[in-house]
Amino acid sequence: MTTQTVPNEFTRKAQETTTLSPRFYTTDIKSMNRLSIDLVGPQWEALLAEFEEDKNFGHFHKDGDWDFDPQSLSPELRKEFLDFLVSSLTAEFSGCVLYAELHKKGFNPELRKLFRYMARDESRHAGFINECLKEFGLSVDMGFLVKKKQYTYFKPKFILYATYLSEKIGYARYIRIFRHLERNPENRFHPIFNKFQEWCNDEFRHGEALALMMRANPKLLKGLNRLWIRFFQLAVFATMFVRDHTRPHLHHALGLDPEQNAIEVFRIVQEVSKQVFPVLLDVEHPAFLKHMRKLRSLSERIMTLREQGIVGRIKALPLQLQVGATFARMYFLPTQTNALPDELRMAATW
Amino acid sequence: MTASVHARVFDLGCTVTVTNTPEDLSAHVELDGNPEIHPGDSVTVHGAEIAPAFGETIRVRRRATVRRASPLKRLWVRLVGDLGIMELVD
Repeated sequence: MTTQTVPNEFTRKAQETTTLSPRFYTTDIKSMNRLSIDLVGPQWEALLAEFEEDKNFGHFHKDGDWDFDPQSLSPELRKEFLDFLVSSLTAEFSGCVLYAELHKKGFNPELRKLFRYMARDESRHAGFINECLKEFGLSVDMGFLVKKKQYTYFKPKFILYATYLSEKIGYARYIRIFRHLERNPENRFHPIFNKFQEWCNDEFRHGEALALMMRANPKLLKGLNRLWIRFFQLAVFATMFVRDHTRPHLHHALGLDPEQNAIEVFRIVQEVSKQVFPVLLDVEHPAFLKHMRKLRSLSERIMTLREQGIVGRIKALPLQLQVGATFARMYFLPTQTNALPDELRMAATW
Repeated sequence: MTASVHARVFDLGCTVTVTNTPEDLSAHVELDGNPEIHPGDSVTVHGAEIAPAFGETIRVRRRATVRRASPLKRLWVRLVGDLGIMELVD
């Protein structure tokens, strides 16, 4: 019976640690430092003032209304919710490592200031998730620090495209959940969701800074770079679509349909991205959703096969080729051209 | 012994700061002299695991070894590194 299995499961969790394995990045620091923000001076100053003001200081804590019993979740929901928390923690932590590195190595004082603020926010979010994991008896193992760390490399412009989209999609996902739970409070199974509004405003602000950096360096948004922008939009959307479907119990508990939710999130991101991207995917194109579903089903089959060891991995190869082909088909769907607006900033009004 | 930062493998001092509090979860390694780390290079911090209890911050001095990647490896990591960028998304 549940009354017996739940405490056992909880006790098992109480002995668990989750090992953080962030990646360490380098980039072409010289070309990162060559980015100028001269074209967006007044907007940049106003944005840095917002970071300086730090409205969310002290916000990410278990406060008076915090009321949660870890044993209230079914084992399936607990597993998926913890997976969600741990992967969010890793993403925040990796973001913090990256931004701290850019702060440390940069010599453009304006950019250094920005990256320090962004690293501050990310480590604050990570700390808060860490606090939530504690309630489940789960602690974070930072043993990676004394292991050999190899540094991988990203081009500066790829960092801008990918982190911009990652911050804005983070905003869209969290604000959607927050608004949905405002209307359906009975689905709010954990108090962390109460914090999502302020949380995603941090993400939104980070995205604003990255948008200003791109708008201030217009060549990042022209010529062949338009092809990269399309690539990153698709990669970020596909990653979310596939990953969210691996957490059915979490979505069910929230009362959200993963597919419908993903489409709504894509719409918000597309609307926000009009501030910076000259080309946008057409997420309303009928083939778009069809191909996303195909990607999802291929990815599920690949994951099942991979659990069967080396033979499964070999069997998965043709499916991986199909993933590539499906991705390529989506990439070449018609896109929308977007004339960049004079107003650089976008307001978080969703 | 601290060898030149141009050597293929060299040791140097570093300061490691690990914070494990509700306000902040972060880990930073500052290498003395802030040498540039190139794609494919690796850094090993020596000594026992640094594991602050929840609520603690630990700041320690340690030795670290930097291993420079071969030119070929550096090129390879530059070429394929970008493929891993999706890890930043979640």
